[in-house]
Amino acid sequence: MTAEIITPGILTIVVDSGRKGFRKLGIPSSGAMDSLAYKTANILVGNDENSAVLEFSLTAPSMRFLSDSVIAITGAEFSPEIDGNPVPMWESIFIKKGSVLSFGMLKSGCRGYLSFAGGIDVPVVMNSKTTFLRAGIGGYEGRALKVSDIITTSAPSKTLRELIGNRIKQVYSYTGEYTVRVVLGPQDDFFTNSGIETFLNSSYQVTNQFDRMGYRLNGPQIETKSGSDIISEGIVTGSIQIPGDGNPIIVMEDGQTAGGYAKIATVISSDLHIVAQSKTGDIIRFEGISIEEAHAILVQNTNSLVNAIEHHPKNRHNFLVKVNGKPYDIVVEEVF
Amino acid sequence: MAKYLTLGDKAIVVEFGQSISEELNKAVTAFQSAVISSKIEGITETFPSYKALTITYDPLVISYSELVSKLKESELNMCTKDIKNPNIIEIPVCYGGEFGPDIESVAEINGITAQEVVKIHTSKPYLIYMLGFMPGFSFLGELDKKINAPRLTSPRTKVIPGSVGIAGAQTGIYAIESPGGWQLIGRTPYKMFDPNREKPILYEAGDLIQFISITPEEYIRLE
Repeated sequence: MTAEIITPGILTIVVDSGRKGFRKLGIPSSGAMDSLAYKTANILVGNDENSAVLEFSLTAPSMRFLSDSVIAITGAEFSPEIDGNPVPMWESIFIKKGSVLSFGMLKSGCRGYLSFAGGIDVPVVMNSKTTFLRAGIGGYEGRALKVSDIITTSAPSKTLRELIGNRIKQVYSYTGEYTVRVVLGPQDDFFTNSGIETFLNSSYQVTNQFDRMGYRLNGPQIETKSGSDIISEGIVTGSIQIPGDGNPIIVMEDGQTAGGYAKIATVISSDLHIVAQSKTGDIIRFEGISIEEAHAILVQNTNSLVNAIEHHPKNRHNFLVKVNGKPYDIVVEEVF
Repeated sequence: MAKYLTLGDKAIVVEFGQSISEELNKAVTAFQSAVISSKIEGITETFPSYKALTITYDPLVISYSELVSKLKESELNMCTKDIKNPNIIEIPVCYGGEFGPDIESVAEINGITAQEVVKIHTSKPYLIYMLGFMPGFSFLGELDKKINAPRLTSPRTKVIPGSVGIAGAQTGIYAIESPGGWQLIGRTPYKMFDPNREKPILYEAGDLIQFISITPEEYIRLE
């Protein structure tokens, strides 16, 4: 199955669940920012949940399909249309050869995901298909998509007909005001009690400095005991660094693998998708939880996602018709 | 005893001290070897820095308390065999000219000649404390004081991959094209980062880098 890009959007890239095992070389995971919407998009079209999809930020692409396909759109709300007719998100849908998929303006959230039955077929670079833009590796020739690029996919797991009609309720509503759970540490002892209280009881606004590397927030300054410089050490996606200006920076998927600012806390993996869907002007509040609570939430979420998907086969009608006196069983099925 | 600190719900930091020293860094890389050889199920990555080892894990496979107790076991059983014999990685560098446009400025700041800068820079191997900041960027052991130089007041928007630079008491190699404010003294013809190579980066923390001066002709031959 293939599709040709008509308009690429600001930043449309091929992503998967990330390039693991190379942080020691300074190479971050660079996976899908909203892993919840990303995995859901894959499951809906019958893919392995770690398959490659398109991630688009703030604006969406448009493309013409060069063969019949089954796709699913999740994440930020962009009002998708096929040939000008609105189509649902959070559902596996059929798109006919020659049809055009396009999107309206961003209504809520920040990043959309488009999965194709079979998954996007691009070369595996260092164990992953995901794009790491700064190094120009992975994904589609190591870069964001451009006009006339051709997306090709691998073979779907079932026939297209069997893959249509998988649905899930929108997994999260992108209201613009979010509470994000964190586990304190490793340098929470660099901050005064009042600094920790400020961090956990204030509203922080997402500035215009946010991207796949990190999110800079703005709000009440977080007080340190004596500065926040540390000897550089490893950081991970979700780490919240507090530089000298006392405002948080949340490290994201393309972030540096080491940093020299004290980390007051780290966003739990189950809530990273919320940060990924926030954008300039959105409000983030932090809630501290224990490591055990974070793990319990992770176990619960892992089990619930697949179970939440329902299959609604399209309308089928069985007819027994006679042609020239000969009986035929006919099934009429709505495919789109 | 090391300190065990949480870094979110999928990573832990094991910290061995609070300074930059070869001894401390060797403890970190020795601990990394011990952890890797103990094959603890659920550990997904280990990455060393100056004074700590960061370990990522899958909490669906191993609980936090189980992870900590297994890591503490590795720490206790850590012995001299875990201190690896450092690999010495020889990096050929063509110094000065178009390859190292700032070498004269580094020489002038220190009141020596460009030839002396090269001589001092290649006079000893440098320990790689850690990689980070960008792919393959190495944080190396201290430079001789005679060739220290401040960062450029206005960073370059594009530094050619393979460039070798100096910033303060630090020296390092740019593995990929990027902006950069280090004073460039030379360039290696080696491809420092190749995603399709079995070892995408030629070195890792704990290895030693020895710079070797080459001529422009040798540079072209090795390129």
